[in-house]
Amino acid sequence: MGRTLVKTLSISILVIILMTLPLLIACSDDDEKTENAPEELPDIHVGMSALVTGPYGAYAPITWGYLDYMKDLNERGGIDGAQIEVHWKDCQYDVAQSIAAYADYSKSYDLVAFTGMGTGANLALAERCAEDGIVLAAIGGEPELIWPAQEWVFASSPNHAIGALGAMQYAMEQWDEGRVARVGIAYPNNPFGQSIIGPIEEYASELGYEVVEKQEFELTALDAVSQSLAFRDDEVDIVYVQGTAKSVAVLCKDMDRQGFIPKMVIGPLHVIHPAFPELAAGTGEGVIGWNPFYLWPQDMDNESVQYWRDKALEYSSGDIVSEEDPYMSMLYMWGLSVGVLLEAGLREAAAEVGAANITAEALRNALENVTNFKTGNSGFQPGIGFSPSNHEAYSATSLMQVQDGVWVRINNMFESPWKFAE
Amino acid sequence: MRLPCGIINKSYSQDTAIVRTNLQWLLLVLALITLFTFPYWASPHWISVMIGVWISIIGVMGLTLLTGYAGQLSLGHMAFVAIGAYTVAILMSDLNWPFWAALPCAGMISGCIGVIFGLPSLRIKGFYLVIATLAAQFIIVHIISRWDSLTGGVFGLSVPKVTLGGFEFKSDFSYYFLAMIFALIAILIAKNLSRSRIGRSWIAIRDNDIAAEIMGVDPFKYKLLAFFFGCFFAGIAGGLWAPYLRYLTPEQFTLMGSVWYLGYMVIGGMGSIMGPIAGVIFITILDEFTAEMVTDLATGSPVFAGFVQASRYIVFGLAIILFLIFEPRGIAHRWERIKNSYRLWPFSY
Repeated sequence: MGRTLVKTLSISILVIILMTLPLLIACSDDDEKTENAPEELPDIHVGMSALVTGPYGAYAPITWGYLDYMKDLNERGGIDGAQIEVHWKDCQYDVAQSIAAYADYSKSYDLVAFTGMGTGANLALAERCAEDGIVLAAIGGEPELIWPAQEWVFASSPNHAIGALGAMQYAMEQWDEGRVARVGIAYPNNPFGQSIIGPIEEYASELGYEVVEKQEFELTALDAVSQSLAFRDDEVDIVYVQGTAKSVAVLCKDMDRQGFIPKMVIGPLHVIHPAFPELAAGTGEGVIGWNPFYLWPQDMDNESVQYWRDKALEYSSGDIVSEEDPYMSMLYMWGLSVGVLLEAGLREAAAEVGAANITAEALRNALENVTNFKTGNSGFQPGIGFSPSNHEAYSATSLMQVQDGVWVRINNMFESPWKFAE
Repeated sequence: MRLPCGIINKSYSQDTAIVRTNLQWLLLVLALITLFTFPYWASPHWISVMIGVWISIIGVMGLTLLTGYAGQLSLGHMAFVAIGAYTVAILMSDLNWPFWAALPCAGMISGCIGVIFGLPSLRIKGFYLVIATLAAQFIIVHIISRWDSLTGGVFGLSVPKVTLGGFEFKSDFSYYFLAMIFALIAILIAKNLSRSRIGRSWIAIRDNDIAAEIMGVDPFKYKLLAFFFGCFFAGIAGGLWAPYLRYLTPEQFTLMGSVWYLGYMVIGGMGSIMGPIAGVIFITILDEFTAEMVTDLATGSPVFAGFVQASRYIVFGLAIILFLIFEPRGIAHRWERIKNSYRLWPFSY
């Protein structure tokens, strides 16, 4: 009995010590442990929680674009000779996996910038990047990330609100009915969907339209009867659908079925999919989609587009090119735009502190001094620039339209009426 | 508990001991040493992954109590994780509560709401109950995404860091210990619950609720208790999840998440405490392996760039199918068979 008691007690004490000791050590030297900076390296380290597979795997060209830009940049000599090392992992749009990748790379390397994908991931990463003092080079899309400007967050391309307002401005330029246009909005109840409502309503009087109907419309909806009837009953002239090719096609078909044909239907960059006209079964004719890049096959006269089409073939993403798909190339350009952002900041930082001394803080400060940055191969988008109050690379967009069953460019890049809070 | 040949329980304390033999003690101590020293030798990535594992183990442990032990199928468990997460986030950020007070509240609120959704379980079971719990998933997440003033709506809300006496659990390194200690406590509680009067009543109801009632087990009471404890664990998991992510949006708590929880439990083994642990670790490792494979394949051989977009889910799905064909009772059962075989060696039959 006594022997058992002694044995039990000694094992219990041992277990308690084992459990408590590392915890105390962890609490005491937490900072020291987590800031174990690796040895000095000549390379400039950037990280990415990429998206290649999973439910949103169709967005993989964004990753390929980003990686190809960095490869190209290194082949062009890097930043004054300093090569850029990209650390990336497929995180499937998943917040937890993105944080795990960030934790890994931010502790293992002297990261100057990190790129996340997905609203949830970027919002979670923004806090961590701010805490660690690492630039979050966000792939544009989420207005809440950059408006108002957050110290460490920079977006590579216009967000949905900018594109939507650009498209609405164009719509009003075409409007010649001699009365105020009646606008209806269809949106999914998520950050993507909600992001355009406020700005479209806010700019109504300035641009000369009136928002008369707002209808929730999920991206996976199989029908849009109630939305179509609501738009018809409110005699909507222009329908702005914050959706994808599939959901916009569903709405177009159901509006047609209800005998309601609005004067204009506008969608975001996700609508410019080559399958859209077929999905809409002939009802998608005239639909407009905005996008903030020049792309192939529509813009092959743009030297930069030609350049990247060849590079995509050479490097890795042959299927993106061979399909001659504007949607795939738009996603690819989206990824390239992050590369442009980083190149702009890194070149500016190198000019200020030298390529060997670029830190995350130097990059952050340099980015705010970038104005109209453009290289020979970044002409697929306008020149980019930032300021302390504006962390969005540019605020221009262009428009495409379905004509005779194919997407056709209808204008070049133009400035959206969006104004940043100064 | 099954014991190795030659070891016989001679007292009640021996009979109720969780850790009974010297070898089990040795293995436990080695496991604890490994777990507590893990952050000192593992890469930051794996520390982060393990935090997710610990939190998932707590949530799946709750589902195991509810479904594996009490037989009450639930397809809305992620919604109860969401309640816990949002409770902690709101109490900490809006009311400035300390995490240590907010976390038990998260468990209690989640447990109580779980009881409400468990009320139909007296009348319905099987697939019908699945549909009822599915409703919980949609209703709860819908309310969260609509109640803008409280939850921040679809844009979510940020969550303060956990502090303890001036120390901030701001790094993954320190948060690992926090998550692990709560997970170990949860495992211990679940283990003891499962072999208590409550746990035995759950098993009786699961195996035959009419027979259980005839023997004096009150099905209504014990079913509701199962919902309470199952959702309490989910709430605790959510409560730990929120300060770790530091930003909550309703999109993090999807139906797919609930399905994954069921997947963890089925692959690990229903009706055992070992099951959730084994299931979560197995799927996480498989997921990490396929993610690494995708990254390496895409980096090393660009020609595979298009193919790898689908390969991760193919490998993942294939592994799960094979597992279910060859070991449908889960990893925990396989582990028991290995142990039994070892105990009888060299005279196994």
